[in-house]
Amino acid sequence: MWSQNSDIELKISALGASACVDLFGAYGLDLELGKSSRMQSDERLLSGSIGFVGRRLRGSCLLAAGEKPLSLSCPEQNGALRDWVGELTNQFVGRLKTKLLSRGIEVFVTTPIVLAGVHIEPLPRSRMEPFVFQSSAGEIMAWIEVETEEAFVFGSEHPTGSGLEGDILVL
Amino acid sequence: MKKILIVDDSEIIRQQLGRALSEAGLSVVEASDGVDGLEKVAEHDDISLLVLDINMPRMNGLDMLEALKRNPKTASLPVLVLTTEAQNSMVARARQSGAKAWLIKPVKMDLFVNVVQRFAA
Repeated sequence: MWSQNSDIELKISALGASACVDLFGAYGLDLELGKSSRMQSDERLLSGSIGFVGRRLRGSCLLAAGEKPLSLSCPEQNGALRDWVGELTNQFVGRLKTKLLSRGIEVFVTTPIVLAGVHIEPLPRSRMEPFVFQSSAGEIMAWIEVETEEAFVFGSEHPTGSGLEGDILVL
Repeated sequence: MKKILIVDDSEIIRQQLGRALSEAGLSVVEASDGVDGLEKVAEHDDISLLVLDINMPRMNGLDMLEALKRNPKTASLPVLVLTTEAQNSMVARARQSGAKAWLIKPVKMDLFVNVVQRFAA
């Protein structure tokens, strides 16, 4: 049977928050965790969502931001932000996957879907709230919901021998 | 001029990589997924190297890589994988199919261009 375990959700969300900070840092945008779990902005937001599934663990990730932080983090000037928020969500989940792998948890991901709107507001099933980060360009929200089977184990961190972001592995 | 095929479903990533390779004097062709990539390989018989994403719609990068290796005409084409994935099982599958290197996004552009130039046939 699948259920939401708040202790596991907290641990995985913390990994996700760290992944989000690292991701935007890699594209030149520093994030700080804000006090609210709701975005205050009235501007149009772009959002990407990706599902993932592994042995005894499954869930979804969502990343949302206004156009300014997306434009500032985008490596191409005037790049299509619909495309970029999808790619950022993909890289966000990629980083989360790597962090999970180092704890012995392997997950596989879906392709991203992208949506736009004003006041995009997650409605969590559990008590785990989204993370809203502040940046010089505006707010960024990251939200992860997971459920697990009873036998799921969140292991301690150990080296896996797999690469990290920016690595080049010659085969 | 060596021709590089970039296969990635993100237009922005294709633009970023394509610009870096063009500035290094390489010619670039783009494809948006594995199906499109196989069509581009069939259209261009002078491709020197492929840069291949993994998670893409229609046909993913590992399936495209294996399709290339099954075809005697394309089996020796050098392939670099550029992806957010880092799972050992996926890296092993790419190695088995003859990929030359596995690069984990985001990669610094100067390093990326160096690796492409090193492996381009």
